[in-house]
Amino acid sequence: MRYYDDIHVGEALPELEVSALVADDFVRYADASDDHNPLHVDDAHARSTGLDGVIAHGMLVMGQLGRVAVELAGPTGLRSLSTRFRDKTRPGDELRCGGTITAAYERDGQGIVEAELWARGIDGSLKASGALVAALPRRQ
Amino acid sequence: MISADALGRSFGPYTYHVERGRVSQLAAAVGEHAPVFHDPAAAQAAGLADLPAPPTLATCYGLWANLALLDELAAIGAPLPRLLHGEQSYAYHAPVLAGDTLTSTTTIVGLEQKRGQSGPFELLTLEARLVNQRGELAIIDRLVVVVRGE
Repeated sequence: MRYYDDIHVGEALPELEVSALVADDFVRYADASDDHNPLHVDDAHARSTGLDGVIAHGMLVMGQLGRVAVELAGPTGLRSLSTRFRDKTRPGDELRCGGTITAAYERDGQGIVEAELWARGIDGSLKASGALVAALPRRQ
Repeated sequence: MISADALGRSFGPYTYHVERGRVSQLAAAVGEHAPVFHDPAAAQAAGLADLPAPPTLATCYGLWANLALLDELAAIGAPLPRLLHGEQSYAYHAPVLAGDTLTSTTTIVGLEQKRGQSGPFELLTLEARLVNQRGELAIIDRLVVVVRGE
């Protein structure tokens, strides 16, 4: 978790690298989230819908943006987190996630920061974009 | 096609107990291994009464995990095989910790007809308000689903 006083508008958040996802990661995510849509775990079903095979739950990718957000805001500092899903993530894809601080201001005595977030494939293709608002502690 | 009178319809309430096992399992599934999400002693050392919810925990209590709600959507013309997750946002109003009980009601707050390269589709926006056992609003969960044409 960061202090509000140390935040600069325009600074980049530490990047998160996610090593190549495998189909078992999608199975594990399905069990953890209770999202059992066969699109994410059943290759034959996914092919029957015109895909090349299973694709990741969008929420698995948003979960990575959540990790970037928690690194900034700690476990209870987030005020909002939003994500727009831009492209499919498939087994074998590696992800890089990061963001940039876009605003920092005081409101009701709290230090509020806003950031844009992104998740990209290793080739730079955008998988998801997002945004957060967080309340950060002040140095005494 | 979804009937225009679906706009404004509400579903639920649905009730969920936030279990430690679920918090830890969801955190692990996204690669979040910080002890605060897995070890009650670490949470207490951070000043929290129990394991805190990872930011996306509410997905476990949302549309994709709710077969009753998925059935409701199928009945209005939005069956699961035609749904794609377009956008997701959470507004956090009160911390959610393991041991909490959340009650949610989901409302259709947006319905738009669109036309894309592969034909017509609809954008359905669902808003779920999750209220904790003290009656406090904890999370507002907004989800945009793309409903592909038949």
